[in-house]
Amino acid sequence: MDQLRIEAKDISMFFEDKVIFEKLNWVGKEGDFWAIEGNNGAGKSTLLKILAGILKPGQGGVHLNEINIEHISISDRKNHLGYMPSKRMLSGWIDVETAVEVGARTEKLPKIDHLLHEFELSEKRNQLIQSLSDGEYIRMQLVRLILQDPDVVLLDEPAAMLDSTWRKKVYEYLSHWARRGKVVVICSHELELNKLYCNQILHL
Amino acid sequence: MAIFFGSTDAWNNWIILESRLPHVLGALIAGSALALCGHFMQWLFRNPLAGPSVLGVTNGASLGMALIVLLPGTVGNLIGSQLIASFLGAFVVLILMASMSRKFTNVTALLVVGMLLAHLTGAIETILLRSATDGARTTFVFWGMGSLDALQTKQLPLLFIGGLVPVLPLCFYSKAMHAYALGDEIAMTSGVHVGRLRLFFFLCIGVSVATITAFCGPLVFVGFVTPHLARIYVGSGSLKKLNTIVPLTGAIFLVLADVCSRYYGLPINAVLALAGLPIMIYLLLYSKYAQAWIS
Repeated sequence: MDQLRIEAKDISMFFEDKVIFEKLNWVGKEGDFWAIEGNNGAGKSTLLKILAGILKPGQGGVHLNEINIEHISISDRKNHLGYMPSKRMLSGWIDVETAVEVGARTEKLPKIDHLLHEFELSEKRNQLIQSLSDGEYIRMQLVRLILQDPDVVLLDEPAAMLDSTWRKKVYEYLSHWARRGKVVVICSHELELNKLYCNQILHL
Repeated sequence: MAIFFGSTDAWNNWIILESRLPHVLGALIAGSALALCGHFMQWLFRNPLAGPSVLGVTNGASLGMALIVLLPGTVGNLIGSQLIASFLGAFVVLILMASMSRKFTNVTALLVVGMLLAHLTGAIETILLRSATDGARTTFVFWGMGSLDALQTKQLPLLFIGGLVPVLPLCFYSKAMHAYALGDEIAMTSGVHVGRLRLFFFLCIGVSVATITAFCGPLVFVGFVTPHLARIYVGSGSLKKLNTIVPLTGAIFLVLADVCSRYYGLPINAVLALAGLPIMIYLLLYSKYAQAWIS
């Protein structure tokens, strides 16, 4: 099997008259742990959403193993691209167990107990996700992504709401994930941790 | 013939088959369908205040009814034409909302459009009411109170097919709706085509509400209160259990309201509001699920 490769080719994004980025080229390969850094409004989250196929770029396109992601059906895309937003939904009307099963691969479902335990969510299993603290909410999203097991994992500010212990743990987990053959891309203002754990950094 | 010659059995049979049965079956069908509509709309709009009337569909039906009953020279006195007019009115609004749902990516914007449409139809109705005859005005006002009285046994299959059948397939979309509950972005990267899902739900719910409103008038509170009530028994965590309990709750709620409305001689919408309001306030004060949804 060919090596996993995700590529942004000549992508430009405009918001009204403002150019967010222009003719941007970027490549993520198997084993890469990318951090996207930049000031507020630099377009970090926008780039991540374009890579995830949530937003269409103004120009150019995103290619996964040389196939434009727009040509991959939405049902198939979940096997390749996983995404975690930085904002949490206000209407958290489903319980933790149901939430982590969203988009999960069937063969991964037996791991739920172990993962909930590992991410210290076992006791919250039957609680509505709305009742979770910000840190627990992010951990729940990580468990969901692990069960979805996509090739490329895109996370917007995964450490923003976490305490220092969990921040480190999450970076270690993501780094381990990349080494296991995934492409991990995060937007983050944690410059120290980015330097320590990420093997690639993109400044916007 | 036995009815006219005083056979009690035949009289009882007539009462049961032609009077009581259509009401009870109609209440079961309309109650379960409206509850499911409200339940899915609350998930679809991610808003606990959503209900069947929010899309403007009920108001569309009301406008259709107003046009056929209140405009001079129309054939508003025929039950069939009233049914068709309210269904068409609802359907026009439904198509309008469905096309809007393609333009607006934000569900809250749609919610606002639905409310504005309700005001618009209300304004047109008041204009029509001013120039209508007393008889037409009375017909329209009584229709607006909601009623299961006009239901006939032969209409029940149509109520079932148009009212309940369109929303039943939505019960099989639990997985997609769980993803949708986490937000559009997560849904899109979890294999859900958000735009198509929304359109499909709107159409199914719209057809159902249009049919029920055409037959029973605009029934209030059933679609809004009963999903909240159902969450007391099964919680809110997963749609699978709720999809069974919500229609049952809706059916029981409307049957009981119909019985009360007959017993006390009150319009069914008055009974629904009198019962629905304290129930909802109680839920907001004491049910952790209702509180979680509202907060």
